[in-house]
Formats: sequence, C-alpha cells, structure tokens
Amino acid sequence: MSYAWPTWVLFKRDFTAPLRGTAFGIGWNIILPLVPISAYVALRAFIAPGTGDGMHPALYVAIGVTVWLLLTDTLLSAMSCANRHRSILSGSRLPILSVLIASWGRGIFDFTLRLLATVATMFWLTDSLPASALLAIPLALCGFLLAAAFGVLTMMLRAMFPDIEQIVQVLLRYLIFLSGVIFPLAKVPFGEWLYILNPFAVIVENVRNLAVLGTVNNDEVLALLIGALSSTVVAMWALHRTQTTLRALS
Amino acid sequence: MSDTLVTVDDIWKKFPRNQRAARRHARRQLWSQLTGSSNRELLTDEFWALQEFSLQLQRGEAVGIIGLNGSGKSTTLSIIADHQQPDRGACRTSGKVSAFINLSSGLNMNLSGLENIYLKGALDGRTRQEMRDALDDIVDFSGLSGHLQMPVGKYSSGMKMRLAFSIAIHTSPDILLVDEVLSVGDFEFRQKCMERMQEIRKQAAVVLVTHSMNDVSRFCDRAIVLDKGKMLFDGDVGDAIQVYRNAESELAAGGVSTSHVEKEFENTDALSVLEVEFDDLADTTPDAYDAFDGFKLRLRLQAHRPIRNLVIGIPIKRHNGDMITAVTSEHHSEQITLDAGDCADLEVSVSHLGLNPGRYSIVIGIVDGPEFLYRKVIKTLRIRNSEQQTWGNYTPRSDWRRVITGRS
Repeated sequence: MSYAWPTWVLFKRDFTAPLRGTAFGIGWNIILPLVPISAYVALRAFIAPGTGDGMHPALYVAIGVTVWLLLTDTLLSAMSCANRHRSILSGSRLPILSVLIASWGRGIFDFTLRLLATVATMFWLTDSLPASALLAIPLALCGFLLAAAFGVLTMMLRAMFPDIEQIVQVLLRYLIFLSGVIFPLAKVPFGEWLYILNPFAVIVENVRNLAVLGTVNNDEVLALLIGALSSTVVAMWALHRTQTTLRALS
Repeated sequence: MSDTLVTVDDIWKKFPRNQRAARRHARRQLWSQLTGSSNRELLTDEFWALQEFSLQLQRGEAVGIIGLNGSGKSTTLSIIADHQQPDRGACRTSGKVSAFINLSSGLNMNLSGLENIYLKGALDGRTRQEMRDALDDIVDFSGLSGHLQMPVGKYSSGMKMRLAFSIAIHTSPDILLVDEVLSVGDFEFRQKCMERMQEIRKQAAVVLVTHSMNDVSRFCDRAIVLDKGKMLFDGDVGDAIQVYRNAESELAAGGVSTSHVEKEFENTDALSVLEVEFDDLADTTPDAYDAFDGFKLRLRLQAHRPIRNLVIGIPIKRHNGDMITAVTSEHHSEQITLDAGDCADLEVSVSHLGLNPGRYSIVIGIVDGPEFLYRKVIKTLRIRNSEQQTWGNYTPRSDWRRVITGRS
C-alpha cells in the first residue's frame, strides 16, 4: 500500500483546515512563520544591535532563528504527534511515520519561507554571498534529521512519562538563549561548555558560518553527520518496533 | 490455497485499572517491544480484558461477538484490526482489512463533506483513484448531496455518521470488522447499510461486535459469547443468544438497585398502605416468572382523611427505569371514595404479562384525583428465559393460521 497520498492529504488538511473561516485564509500560512524572524531581526537591527561574530547582527539572528525554528518545530511536532493525531492513529492502520512526515512537511514549508526571508536579508546587508552558502541548506537539513530523530525518541518517552512534553517545552524556551541563536555564546557564562553539550548550538553556528563566512568546523560537521544518521536509524528502528503500541497508547 | 483470512491464536490482553498503573503499563509495554523482553505477567492494578481467545475465519463467513459491557468484544476487534497488540498469543490476517470502529474519527470539522470523503478515504488506505471512482456512489448512498460543500462541523451527529458510514462501506475488503455501528441513521438508511453489508459479506470474512441480537441472527453464521474477557461459547447463533441471555439474567438476578426506577413517596397524613401481597395466579410466590404468567396483587390500605377519587396505578418498568406498560384502576372500577379511618381491600389480576426475559420493577402509585399520595417499588420481577426468540420488551400473544390462496 502506498502512503504517499494519505500523507499528502494530511499535510493539506493541516495546512488549510485550521484557517478556514478567516478572512485572509491560507495567507496566514505565509505571514505567521515570518513573524518570529522579523521580530528578532528588528530587535537586533534597530533596538539591541550588539555584536554579530563577524557579521551584521540582523543577519546573525536571521540565520540563527531560521535554523533554530527548523530544529525545534521538527522536534516538538514529532514529540506531540501521537497525541495530536490520536483520533487518526487509534482508528486506522496509517503508519505513524506518515503522520510525522505530514507534520514535518509543514515545518519544512515554514523553513523555506524563513530561508527566503533570510536570503533577502543577506542580499540587503552584504555585498556578496560566498558560493558555499548553498551548502548551508544540506547542513541545516542534517540538523533536521537529528531533531526529527530526537523528536521520535521523545514521542516514545512522552508515552511513558507524559511530563516530558512540558519539560522539553520549558527547556527549549531557555535553550534559545544558550544556543547562539540571538547572541553569540561567548557572551554567556560557560558558553564553551554549553557549545560542546548542545548539538543545536553546533548546528546553528556551523550553518551560519558556512552561509555567511564560508567557513566550517570539519570535525563538528562530521560528528553532526554521524550523529544525525545514527540517531535517525535508531529512531526509525524503535518507531517500527513500537508503533502499534504507540498508536494504542495515544 | 487456504482461504483462512483471520487466525487468532490464544490471545491475551491486559489493561490498567488507574492512571498510575496506566503509566507503568505504557512503560513496560514499550520497553518490552524495544528489547524483546517479556511483559506477560499481570501486575497490581491490571486486569485481563481478554483471555485465551482463539478464532479462525474463512472467506464468506460472518461471526458475531456478543457479550455484556466490558466483556472484551471491542478489544478483540481492535486486536484483529491491528489497532492494538496482544500481550500473549498472535493474531494474523491476510488481505485487505476494513474496520468500522469509531467511524467518525478522522473527520475534520473545518473541512467540507466532500473534502472529508477524500480525507477519510485516504486515512482508510484507499487510493485517490479509488475514491474518485467511488465518489458518486458514496454521495448517493449518504443522501447528503445537498450538504457536501458545508463544513462537517455544521452537520448533525446523524449526518456525520451517515457520511462516515457511507465512506467506510464503499470498499471491497477481504476482512470486515464492524463494531456496533449498524444502528446508524433512520430505518431506510439502516436497510441500505444492511444490504450493502450482505454484499460485502459474500466476498469477505466478517466479524460483527454488537449488542443487537437481531443483527447477529440476521447477519452471522456463528456467534461467540464473551464474558469478562473469556470465551463462554462459540457456535450456533441461536444457542449463543441463549447463552448470552442466561448470562444477562444471572447478572440481573445478582441484584439491581431500584432507586433509579422511581423516587419513592408516601403521604402518611392521608393514607397508609397496610399490606401488599404479590403472587402468581396460583397464589404462590415464585422466584421467577415465565413470559406469559400472570400475577395477582392484593392491597390493604387505610385512609386518614377523606379521599374523593382514589386511583391506583401499577406501572411496570425495566430495571433501568424505562416504562414498559401500566395497569390502572381508573377505567376498570367504580370511583373509590373513603372517609377518614376507612379501610379498603383491593385486588387486581393480570392474566398474561407477555414481558420478555429480564428484570422488571412493579411500582404502586396511589392518587386522590390530581394529588399523589403514595409511590413505591413493591416487587422486582424476574422473567425467565424461554426457548422462543424475543424482540424488544414485550411479546403479545399471537395466533397464526395458514391462509390458502389457491393456485391460478
């Protein structure tokens, strides 16, 4: 059986159904994802510029927020997926992966919009873009894989310990300030340690450097790649083994 | 090639009794699946919802699963549908499975009826082309062609069920699993559903979970009776219904509170009921009655103030409080008047009750014109099971004769 169509139908449903009845309709799907990035860019461009690690602070935050939201949206949508779609999962044979892909599709759409806004910001604030800027996209998608794998594993943990969802949400609220998204980690106490312990910070930092400065830490990128691939394999194996139970528990 | 489509081999399923046990249950279940470790033992605050259940089903065969609430019927169905996994044993199906369980789940209230047809079809595993081909039939069957552009959130609950059922039933499964959904819509719609189900049945193996003995006897070749998760009977439909009814009346005989039948009331300033006797027509007091037995009720009462128009009513209610019928003195005797201190002896005989097997409450209500004076449950009546199949609550006596119309 092919699950491509149900996945597409679910994606379309999540994209259009919640906005039915609003005057602007699916136009909100374009406006809303750009709100956080525009707010942070305005903050760093006009209100609290500070330093930007060798680049314009607005560009620093635009890239940081774009990558950060890709990672956190992916993680959070996976973590709450079984619960949000319980009526579908408990009454059908549709694999959880289909529902996950539909949710992630929404995240990728939002990421694409923010990416376009970031590229526009880059053209606005810099004279030229390094050729390596394009390589930042696959690197960000490598981060997406890692976040997706974390999300799937936290979805299982959430089924066992329901408080996990709230704990992760609280952590992510603080972690945005400890991942070099808005301000460089050098400004944060124990920033070096936080950088080593926080893979999201490594992803944000390397994507940003690759896109703007054309530099990357090869060891970190290699570790990231291995981590993303291995955690994806583990998450998919665990999902495959537990999905009937996860559906029933949802 | 074997045409066995469903093989259920000694499955067991346990459930937690409370939230705390539910969390522990979830942890153990997921952990055992990840590590392959055993999770077969029953822990504190868990119970077996299903035990030692086995079943084989061939193409063209329809089996009904009946049982009281909580007997494990829906659990069995959801395991066969692969919505849950058993804790012990195995369940194998071959071919396309279509499960009519929680039919309206998956419908999106913001989307139109038409959009929901495609959405639900996709979630049920059907292709876009299949849905396009079936669209006209689904719309015709549902009778909702005038409402297809309306958001489903604006539909009545009946319309939602019609839509969901119409989508679900336009399929050609190898295995059809139906959970208590044949009571959808009005009579005409139910007939259409039943006809369509009969068509599917010819090509598929069907498992029907229901509380309706009519549906089981009309639709199934054999029936399974479940009681507290255990298979009580597997065989002929008529025998299964008898086993189910016996189990039901045993439960009822275990004692049913009558407090919900009637709020009791007594105006002792106006009248006292001194004596009540309830017997069968032979003046004995049996534990249980047969369907066509009668009863005799004798009543002695004393008035404490003048009563101008005494009327006695005897409502007969189902153990759940539903009124079945009533007899009253109003139209069958002269107007009864009593002065203060007067005593009255009254007797009423009912020759043929005609009540179907089950448990009933006999209530006495006494009024003086529009004023209520007394209302009490005086007897809990148990009607025994009989060989004869019954429907509803009441079976009138009937005589049939053959009318010979001749040949042309």
